[in-house]
Amino acid sequence: MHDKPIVIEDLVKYYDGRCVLDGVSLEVPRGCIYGLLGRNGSGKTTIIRILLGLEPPTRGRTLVLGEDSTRLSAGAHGRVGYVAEGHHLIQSYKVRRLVGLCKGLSLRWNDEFFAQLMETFRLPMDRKVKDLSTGMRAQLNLALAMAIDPELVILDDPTLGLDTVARRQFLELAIDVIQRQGRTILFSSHILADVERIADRIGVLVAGKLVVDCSLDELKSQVKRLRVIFPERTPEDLYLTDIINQRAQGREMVLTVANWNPQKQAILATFRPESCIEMPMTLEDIFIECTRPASAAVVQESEVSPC
Amino acid sequence: MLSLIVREIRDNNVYFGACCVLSAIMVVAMSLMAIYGFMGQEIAVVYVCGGLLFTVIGALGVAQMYGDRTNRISTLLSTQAVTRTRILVARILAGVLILVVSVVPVLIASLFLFKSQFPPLQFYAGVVWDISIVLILMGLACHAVGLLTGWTSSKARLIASFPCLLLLLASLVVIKGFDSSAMLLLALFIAATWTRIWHTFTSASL
Repeated sequence: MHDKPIVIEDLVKYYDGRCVLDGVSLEVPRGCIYGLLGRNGSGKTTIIRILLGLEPPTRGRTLVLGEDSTRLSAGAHGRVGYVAEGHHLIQSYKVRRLVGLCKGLSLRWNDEFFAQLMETFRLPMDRKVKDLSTGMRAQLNLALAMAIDPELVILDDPTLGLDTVARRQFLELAIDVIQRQGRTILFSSHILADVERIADRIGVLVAGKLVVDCSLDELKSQVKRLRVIFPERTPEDLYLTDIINQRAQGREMVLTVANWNPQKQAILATFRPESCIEMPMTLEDIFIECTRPASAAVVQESEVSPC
Repeated sequence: MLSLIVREIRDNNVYFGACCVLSAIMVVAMSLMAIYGFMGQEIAVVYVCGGLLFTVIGALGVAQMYGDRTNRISTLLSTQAVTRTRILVARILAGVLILVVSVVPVLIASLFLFKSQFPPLQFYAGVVWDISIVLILMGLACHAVGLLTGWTSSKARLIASFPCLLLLLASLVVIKGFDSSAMLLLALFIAATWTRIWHTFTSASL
């Protein structure tokens, strides 16, 4: 057992001269459910593919269960359960044959648990994978990933392409299955409600940079959106750090600030605002503020928000 | 490893079947020659089937890699408890197995043919060995060429490169014959091709 099943150090990835990941560093402690958020194309899948050794990094280092991702042993692979975006299963195989193959290649296989999952999901063993619906493929992928009794589970947008009912059903079963044994989980999604339900730590990727990396509660408590009304027009510079986003109109300014604390409150008070009202924020609001294109420059200055 | 080899055989059973059929035809033709003496038809059958056999062995290599590339089979396999090197070794072993089940019976039949048709003194003792080794190396080289050229997503590139490299190998045996220099060249070719495939396959994005 490793204290940090996932370690990413200064990860950089270029595709055809385009920077997809720009110096990402993060650590996922054991037993943590880490939600990796980001818009489409922000680099979530690339991080996961590099972690699993499916993609070589341009620079930087990634460790999975203590081993370098580029040289992962069969033993380490055997302790990682992976549910891929799009579910890369062998389409021409029948479910029974695919299960047989995965079982044959596994280090450990929990027959009883797998049978229980197949019964819950009601998956037909004699149908070809290509004939299954997207929801069924997602369930089969989850069942295969969990049957090996993994130490680390990596879920890459597993609910992509599922309708609302199927997504909810999948997540409820996934939560039940995953939380039963206190595994470490890296969960990537752009559906915030899913992440909010599962994750206890959040990372937000914006254009290949990790702009947020903290616990969900900390994120909610430390990112504030304030509506400030000044006596005259809004000041040019508030001299505050970690401003994620700000919009000014006349005497009114709405600003989103990370790492909100009494010092920042005191700095703001020196401008003698007529009023300063805190506006409630959901995870979705925080995510939208963090990933808004206009905020990117501000975010880059402050790098990762150390909540 | 066994699961990987079994998967390779099951997924490419058409090629194994084709090789067995070609091998059986050649054995029958050689048996007829051994019984009734050399006839033009049987010799032609052996040559045509021999050429086809090596082409099918090469095509197996192509199917293994091209099928993987287009269906992203290794993407699934390499997230299981295996490494890419093991996946590749399983593919090569499947190639060795197809050689064992198809080329070896032909070699045994040819041995009987030589014994029945020619007085032992006409040939030097190692002639059958030399031919056998060159043919086995040729089979391995054809399979390696298939593996190398099959790792592409471009059909045009595959169609252009695979037959050219097979013709190159065939011309090598035609020119050099079954002597030790042909063996050395084929062995070097196989080693270089396997190294290149290993490097390409283990460093590729899956």
